[in-house]
Amino acid sequence: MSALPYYRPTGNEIEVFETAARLKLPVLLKGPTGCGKSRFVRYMASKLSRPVITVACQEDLAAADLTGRFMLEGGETVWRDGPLTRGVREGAIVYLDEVVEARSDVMTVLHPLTDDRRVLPLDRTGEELAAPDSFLIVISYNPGYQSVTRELKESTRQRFVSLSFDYPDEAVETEIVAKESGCDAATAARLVEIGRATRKLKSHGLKEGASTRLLVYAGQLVTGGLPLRQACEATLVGSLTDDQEMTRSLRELLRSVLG
Amino acid sequence: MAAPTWPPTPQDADKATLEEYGEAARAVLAAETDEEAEHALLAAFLMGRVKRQLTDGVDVGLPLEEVRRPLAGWVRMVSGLDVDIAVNDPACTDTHDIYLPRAVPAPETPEEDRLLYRCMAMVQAGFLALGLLDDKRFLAEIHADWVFRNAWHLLATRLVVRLWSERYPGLRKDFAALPLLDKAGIMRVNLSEVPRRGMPGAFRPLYDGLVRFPTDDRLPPGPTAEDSVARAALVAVDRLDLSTLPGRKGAPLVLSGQARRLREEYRRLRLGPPPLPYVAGVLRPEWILDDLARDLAYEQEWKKGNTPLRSLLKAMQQKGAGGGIQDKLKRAMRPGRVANVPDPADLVTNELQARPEEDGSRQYDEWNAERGHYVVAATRVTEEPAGSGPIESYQRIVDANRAQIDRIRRQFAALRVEERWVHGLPDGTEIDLNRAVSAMADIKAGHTPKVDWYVRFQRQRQQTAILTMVDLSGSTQGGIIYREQEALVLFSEGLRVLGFPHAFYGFSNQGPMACAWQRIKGWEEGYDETVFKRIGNLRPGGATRLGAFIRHAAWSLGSQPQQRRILMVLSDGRPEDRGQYRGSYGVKDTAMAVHEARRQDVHVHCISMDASEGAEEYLAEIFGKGRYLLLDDVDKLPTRLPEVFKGLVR
Ligand SMILES: Nc1ncnc2c1ncn2[C@@H]1O[C@H](COP(=O)(O)OP(=O)(O)OP(=O)(O)O)[C@@H](O)[C@H]1O
Ligand SMILES: [Mg+2]
Repeated sequence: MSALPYYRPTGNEIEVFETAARLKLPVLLKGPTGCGKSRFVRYMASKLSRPVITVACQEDLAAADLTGRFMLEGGETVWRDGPLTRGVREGAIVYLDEVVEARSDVMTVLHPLTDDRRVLPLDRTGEELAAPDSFLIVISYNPGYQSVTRELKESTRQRFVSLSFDYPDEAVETEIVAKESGCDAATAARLVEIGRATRKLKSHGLKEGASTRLLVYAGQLVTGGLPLRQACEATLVGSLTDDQEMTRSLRELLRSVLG
Repeated sequence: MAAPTWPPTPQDADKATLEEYGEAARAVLAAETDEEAEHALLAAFLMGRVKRQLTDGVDVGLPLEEVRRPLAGWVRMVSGLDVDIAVNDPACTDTHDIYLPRAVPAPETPEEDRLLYRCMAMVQAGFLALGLLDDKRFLAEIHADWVFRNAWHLLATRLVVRLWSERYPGLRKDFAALPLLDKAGIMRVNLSEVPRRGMPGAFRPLYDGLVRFPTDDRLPPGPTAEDSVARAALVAVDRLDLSTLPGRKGAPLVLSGQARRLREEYRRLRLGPPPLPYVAGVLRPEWILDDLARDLAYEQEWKKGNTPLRSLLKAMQQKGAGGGIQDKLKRAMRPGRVANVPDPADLVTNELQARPEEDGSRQYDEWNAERGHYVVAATRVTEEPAGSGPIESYQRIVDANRAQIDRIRRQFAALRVEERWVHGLPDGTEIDLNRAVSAMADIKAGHTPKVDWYVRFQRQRQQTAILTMVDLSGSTQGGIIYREQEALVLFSEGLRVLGFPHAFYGFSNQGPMACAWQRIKGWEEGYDETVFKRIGNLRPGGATRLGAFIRHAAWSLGSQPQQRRILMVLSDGRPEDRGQYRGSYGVKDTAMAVHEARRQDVHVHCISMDASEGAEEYLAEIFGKGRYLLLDDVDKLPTRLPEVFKGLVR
């Protein structure tokens, strides 16, 4: 088997996921951006030797985008499977990222797949696809972001086994940043210290603090030869905010931590 | 004492300190018993602080307001505490937020000024991070004894500075640069500027040690007995293991142990009271008292132990009959903050009674611009339904404005961003049959078809919450209130078509504590007879303490889930109420209230019908250029209100 992607577990998430997959129970991953949800899904898929299909949901994504539609091709209408249909046919893990962003009819399509029926009715073609055992739906959701109108409906939420993700604790995050970016441990520790500080600004001017992903980027820039301060400036300041005052706070933070 | 000017020179500061505490010192020396001495000290501490005043026209350095937000963000990040920054002089904290002076002395040297703010803020944050303020009883105790208090503060500040310096190299630089700053001396952040005249020997090494931290070897050599005690205290504090912090237990104990030791030594040497630096400001006395009162009341211990607070209150009751002391204390007790105390009738005096706000009223601070600080809980706003009357009065307004209503409905309908199908897209969720057929025809005819045969469903965009507040003060009597009613009728018709959540409130007050927030249409209320009757029967009367109402409106809007919030203020004159709330006082408080609202992301806009002279100026001062409309003709109000609103949401 090919090498597994690197994933550093932070709790019992692997065990829970494996069990859920075995029992064919759909999984909900909750957590802020860039904390390793996608990486985890890739890792699990690889561990369970199943293909994974990822769909990034946005507000215009409709059920038809997932199931498929008739296309005009060379003068003929041809049915084209959407990613969900393809996933059902192939018995893949289908990962719907930020699912609440999608239009509400998406949920309606998911419902029969996420209870014991495990079927995907295709109205347009009149088919009803039964999902093979290896098919698994995984959705992700960032509870911090949504407005009240974008919360996961109870009837949806309760169809999933949930796993809560958060940024890992200091030591683990340092390990991840060092490993992923190739920077040395001291630099990684500094980056994590700054990153964790920025998370204090959440809902005080920043939507989110720096994610693990962003810290990895900063580390990569350092590995690539950029001085630490500049690497931080480009990621932890520039990518977090455009607001002048916030920028000033973040710069002061860099100055305080880096001297 | 001559009124202090601002900013004070170091000499002024020196003099003020001596004068300020001189009286307390005399009282203490004259006291016959220890208890009396403590009362005298505590009384002086509670009542006798010289406020530095920021008067108009004085040059100042970088005002706090200009750095407040970034500074607050920075403090949150480096301290890890969830605190905000507000205004008070001297710098202090109430354990929730950090308070800093509104400005630092001129000249403006932005880098220096920022450094000063940073250091002041981090000293306060350090007290919180180390858990030094958790034990309110202990704080009350040390505040009754100057020597104890000063020694403790100095040691604590030294510890705080050490904590941050060890943790952050940048902060180490900041604190190291501080003693070199003249301004720091004036603000008394830098202890080297504290007057040394009359300072007992035992304190000198402490001051020096703090200023010249963090290395011991730079302490001045001082082989005297006093020096050695102070030095021992410093060393003990320096040896504290900060790696276990914020452990929130060890540090306060070690500090108070060392401070006690100093006090003993101090007493033994029979030295007079030392001058008090307000380096670490830390807690406003009324806040300590407030928290303490709460604790004590809960435990029903008021009648038992002889706590300094209780003795003090008693002493005041006796001495202060007829004097202003009780009033001051009462005010200091901040009724709003003691809301949960069980029956305070048991307290020493009924005047300390907390007023539960079960009626849903809310208290707001008021900005005293002249003094440069907020007057705490100075106003109270109570919501009540607006007056009612016969439905016919509403009906008459509608009948008289039929044509206008139709026009406004049409206009607002056009504003609506509805859920709708968008046609002619190259990609979408459904196929648009008509276009697909013509594309097929194109293909059959050998043409290249236009790829636009998809349609997509688009959902509704950002919702906006709108609160309209209408002046119902006495001066609206006559023509104005009728135009306001018409304006409400037209505007409500438009808003109903638009479907945005909205509310209408009237406002007028009888003095600061009776601000009536009159519900014409609440957020949740639908348009029914009750609402129509209120709109048709608004009644004028009372004054215009506008600041309080705007604060309340901002709070009300804040409870709405919509991200965009608009506040429309309809008024006919300047903010005015009995007492000092007139002229520039009222204008400045209202301007501050608007400023606060905008910080809470409320768009504030005013339509004024004030025909008096100088209206342009005060409106610009309160609402800012372009954020108000001054009508030259009251009759235009009904049509202008919806128009202004349209301009805001377009
Ligand atoms: N536990 C972890 N093990 C290994 N790498 C991690 C871990 N957590 C985060 N990372 C790193 O962070 C990066 C971002 O993680 P990922 O893309 O999985 O985030 P996400 O949670 O899916 O974010 P989003 O919600 O924005 O899609 C990864 O590419 C990886 O470098
Ligand atoms: Mg992802």
